[in-house]
Amino acid sequence: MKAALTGIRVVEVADGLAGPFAGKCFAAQGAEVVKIERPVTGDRSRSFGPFLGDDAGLERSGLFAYLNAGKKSVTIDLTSDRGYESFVDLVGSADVLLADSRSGSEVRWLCSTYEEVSRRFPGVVVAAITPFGMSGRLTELSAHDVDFCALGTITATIGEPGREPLTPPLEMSGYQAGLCAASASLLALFARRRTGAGQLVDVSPLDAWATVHQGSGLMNALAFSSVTVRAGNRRRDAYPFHLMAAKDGLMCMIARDGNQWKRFVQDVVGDPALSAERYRDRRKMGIDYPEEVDALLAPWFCARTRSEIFALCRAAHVPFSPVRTIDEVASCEQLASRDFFVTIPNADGSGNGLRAPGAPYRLSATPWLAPSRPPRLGEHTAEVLVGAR
Amino acid sequence: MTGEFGPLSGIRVLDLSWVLAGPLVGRLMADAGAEVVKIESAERMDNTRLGRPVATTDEGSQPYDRVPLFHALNAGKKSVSINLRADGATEIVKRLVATSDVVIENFAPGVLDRLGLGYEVLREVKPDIIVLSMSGTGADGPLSDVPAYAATVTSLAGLESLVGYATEPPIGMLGANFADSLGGLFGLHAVLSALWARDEQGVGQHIDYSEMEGVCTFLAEGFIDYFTNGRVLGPSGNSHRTGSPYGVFPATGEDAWLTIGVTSDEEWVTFCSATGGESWGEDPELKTIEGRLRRKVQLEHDIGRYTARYERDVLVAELRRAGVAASPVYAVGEQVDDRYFWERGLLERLDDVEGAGEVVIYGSPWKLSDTPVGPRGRAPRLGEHTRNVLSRDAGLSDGELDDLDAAGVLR
Repeated sequence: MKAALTGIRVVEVADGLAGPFAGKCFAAQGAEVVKIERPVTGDRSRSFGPFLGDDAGLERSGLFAYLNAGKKSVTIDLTSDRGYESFVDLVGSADVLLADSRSGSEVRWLCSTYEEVSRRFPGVVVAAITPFGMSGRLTELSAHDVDFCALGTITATIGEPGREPLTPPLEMSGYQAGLCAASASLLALFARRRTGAGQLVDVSPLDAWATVHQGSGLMNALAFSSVTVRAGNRRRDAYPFHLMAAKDGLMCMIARDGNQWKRFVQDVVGDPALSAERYRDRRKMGIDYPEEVDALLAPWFCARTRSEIFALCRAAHVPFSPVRTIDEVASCEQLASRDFFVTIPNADGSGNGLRAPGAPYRLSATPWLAPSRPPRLGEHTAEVLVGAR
Repeated sequence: MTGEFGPLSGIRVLDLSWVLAGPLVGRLMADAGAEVVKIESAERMDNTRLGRPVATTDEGSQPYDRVPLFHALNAGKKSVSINLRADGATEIVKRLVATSDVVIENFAPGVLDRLGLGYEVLREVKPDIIVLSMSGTGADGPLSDVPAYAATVTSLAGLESLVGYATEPPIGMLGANFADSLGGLFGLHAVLSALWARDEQGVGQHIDYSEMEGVCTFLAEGFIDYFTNGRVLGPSGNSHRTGSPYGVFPATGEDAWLTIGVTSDEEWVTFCSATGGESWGEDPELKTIEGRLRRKVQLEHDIGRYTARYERDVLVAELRRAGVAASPVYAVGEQVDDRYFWERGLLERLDDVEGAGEVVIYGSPWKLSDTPVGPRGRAPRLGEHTRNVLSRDAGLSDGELDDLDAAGVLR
């Protein structure tokens, strides 16, 4: 059995996080991904940390290695006519051109490239990740993660009332746009089986925030004018739905049905004061006096570690869980038993390689490939460009 | 509404899932033209049917057929009601599996096996079936039995430890249900990959998706930094490594905010000319990214005092006109007044929901130029297609259907 996407050929002209993550979703499943990089400096993520041993260098970026392991690197100067021509020729031999752009001028370049490719090679799928789409009123604007989360109404729900709202951590818009571009490209390849034709796949990092992440918040705002606002470390429409300080860190407390809360109060904590009528209506508690209930629970939590509380809750089928820090997750017994983290060999074959997240899902018959090393800048230029002629 | 042919036209999906992540995979497949049959039961209703319904003038309409979130997650599907715990129910489901390409389920690990519908059973029925199982922590392993909600999963995965103001304890983003929505996106990608493998290599397979692992994937930078350099990230407010000023700034009025992102020295020059005459414009140290990061706290404080003098939308428009990346921080629901969201198809209107007037749901998170994707109608009424689908696909006669109905199997 071969990996799921074996046989698909992708040309990636993308930079940073979003486009390269889309390419990773192909490369890790056996597709041939040829990555076009600018000469000398390459993909800008080569210049981002985290670096191996905090030692910066074009071949030492852990982020680059994670995103680009298993791809081929071809350096082409796309601003020269000859370079551009050899790039378009390469695209002609591919199934998918994967591209991302961050500014108005880059979007314009991509639009003309799409026209050229679709005219000369109508079977090629062109997947474009751009700030606000390939057409429409906002194509000239540039934007960053902070913009996409804000426009997508995620930011407004995070943070304390009265203080500035918060963007989700790291750079989730990029990964997410990449994942969307990967799926949408596959959709276009399925369509091509019927139509014989490629098409434009148009993805903005705003799209996913503005659609699939819009749950009851948007629906309630529109249908019932009930607006979700940020409320610090809790949600105020039910209790418990918050973070609570234990002896050695925070616990995440959620009970979505009354029985879970009842079991926690009676079987886990066993405090008769909490069995009073006043502490039964979870909606009322959440809206009107969550701090009062917190105060009653605080001594019990402060006297116990997160793992003690987690074990007690598991035994009682109460879904509270520890808020883990990154180092704790890195040594999580669940992830270890499923071999979630994998080792990516270093570009020059030295050292122990890079530990990083592996496959996001397990396919029983055609699993993700064990990662191969990331390409050195321009490593495959001669091989690929000669092969294209 | 999106037209007849879609990229997944001809693909048939049996959607046994409920609540959020699983139904979202089915919804995205229905948007792309797949026929998605939702198996559900009045005995154990999808939780999102139990939300607040919109009002209607149609007296025959059931409240659980009028919940906006249910429509968002199940638009364009068919509904077959079967009580999976009733005698004979699993045999009917197996007949439907025989004519399906994909099965989606997000019961707790082991439940499908106990119902007699585990992957090994289903592959006997249809050797190349693709079964997507979605769970909080995965189908096996020491924590696979942990009861999970989206925010307990993101807590276990480390995400919540990164959300908060710099130097303060984490406050998390519990309300976002991030793990479930992300599960919808990863689940779909897994199914599409497996369908491709089936078409090319003739194999079916089981997909085991752990929401925790999907979330960890999005935190790759954090794990790499820890594994290679021993650094443990924590809350950092709105800061980002790529530059300053970068983040959320106040505007005039109550709870009004905008974003500004300057990530290069060229963007800084643009920002300075857009905000002409302010003290930062002439400061030589601020001309480099290193200098701005060094003085980040004071600089962003000063810029906040400047932005607080302006109306949010006025300042955003000015900054954008000058070429600075800036956006309003929209409150939940505020985006419906921005026509870009409608033009882009991020929001869509359903106009035939149970006499309840218009219901707004979200569109697909991508655009395809020639085979458009997007919602193909409202969500089904509970059991709306039971007889139609069971006679067509399970080969049941009217008499057999009457008997099953009388026995309570089709509830």
